[in-house]
Amino acid sequence: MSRGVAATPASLWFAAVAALLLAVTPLPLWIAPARPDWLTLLVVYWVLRAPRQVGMGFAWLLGLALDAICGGMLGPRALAMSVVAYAALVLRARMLHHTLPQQMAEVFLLSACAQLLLRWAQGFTGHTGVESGFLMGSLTAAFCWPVVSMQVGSRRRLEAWDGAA
Amino acid sequence: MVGLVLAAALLMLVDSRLGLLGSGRAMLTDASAPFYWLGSLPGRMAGWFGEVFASRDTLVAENRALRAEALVLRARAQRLAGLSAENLRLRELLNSTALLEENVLVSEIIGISPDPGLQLALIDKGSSSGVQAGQAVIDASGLFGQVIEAGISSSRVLLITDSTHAVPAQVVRNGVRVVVEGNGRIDRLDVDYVAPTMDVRPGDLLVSSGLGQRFPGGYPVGVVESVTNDPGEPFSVVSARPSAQLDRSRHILVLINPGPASPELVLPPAPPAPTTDVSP
Repeated sequence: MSRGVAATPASLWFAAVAALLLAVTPLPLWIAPARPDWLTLLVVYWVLRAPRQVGMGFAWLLGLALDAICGGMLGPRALAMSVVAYAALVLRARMLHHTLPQQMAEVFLLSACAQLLLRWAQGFTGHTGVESGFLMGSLTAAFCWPVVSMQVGSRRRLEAWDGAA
Repeated sequence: MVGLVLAAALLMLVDSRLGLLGSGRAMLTDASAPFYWLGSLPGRMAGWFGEVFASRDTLVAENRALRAEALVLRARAQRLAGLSAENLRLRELLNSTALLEENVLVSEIIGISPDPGLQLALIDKGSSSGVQAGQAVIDASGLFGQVIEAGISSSRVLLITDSTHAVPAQVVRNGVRVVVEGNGRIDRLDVDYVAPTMDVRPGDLLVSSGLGQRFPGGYPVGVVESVTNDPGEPFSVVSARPSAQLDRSRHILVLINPGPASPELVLPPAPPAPTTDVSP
């Protein structure tokens, strides 16, 4: 069993706080809609890397934390992130075999689902101001995936670890 | 999976429809302030370096410009004292209530909500400084928003451009009353329920009317940009540009509970009594 594949609590905390900070860092107005969907990237990353430790509960709490920070209704991101984690768990075995462009497309779709769920839930509280570019963040997240996926580790290693555990 | 989705749905229901998380939300406001503070650290470090390493000439020039501006503003304030005294006397003649004097609290914006669907700002003053939910917030050039959650040392401000926000306003030129709604874009306001026969033109300044008891009257809300009449529609489509610099302001003013204006502050000292009234 490879030790490097397991998630230590410290690395989980560090990654979660880093993703939340990146999600609230102020950006210039023209680039803000294209802020990458860091939370989806983080959830997919951890699910691919350590599915035994990180699952929907972690994603739910991470989404709830960003809900609290953003200040709107509590819950939409918790909902969206737990759905992303579920889909990533289901897709995991296939994603490990896919090429990088295919993985990017999958990350885009997962993130787009999360954004749609989020807007849909916010619609319940009367927020109608959805801009047409609301999937820009999903697109930039997909283009960030090659960098993130380098940290996931090779498929052979992950599968060896899966088999051993 | 189903449990988590249900839990999230329940949370949304409890939070948005039933409003059972009152004090808990105020705590969350305080808890989220450090994230905004840390997240904006790189930007503020850049600003700090700019200040520390600014050249002497830049500082002198800036100082001079500020002095000149202060002089102009002081000159305007002199006239304001006289005008407000006159206004108060006229209002007394009309038997109308005295205008309220607002106390303001200077506050700094810590962060803007990263959610593009929400127009929320976090400010660095909370209930320990007297901030309460419902207070109006202005910046140097107009109405900014209102406080919706007050934590102990930080509060959340809903901007007037949020798609759930509306301000009762009126046109300065002729006093026509309108409702100004946000639509989720930070540089645009919608003016609702404007009948095609109403006298609203591009360039009109809209100020808060004070109706609705939430915002004090007289603060600039926006400037009408376009009026489109469609004969098939019952109302004109009117859009305005916010007066406040919603995307730029760093310092804002919270209007703390207004108290009644004290006449002795505004009125000149009472004239000496006529000699004929003096008893021998």
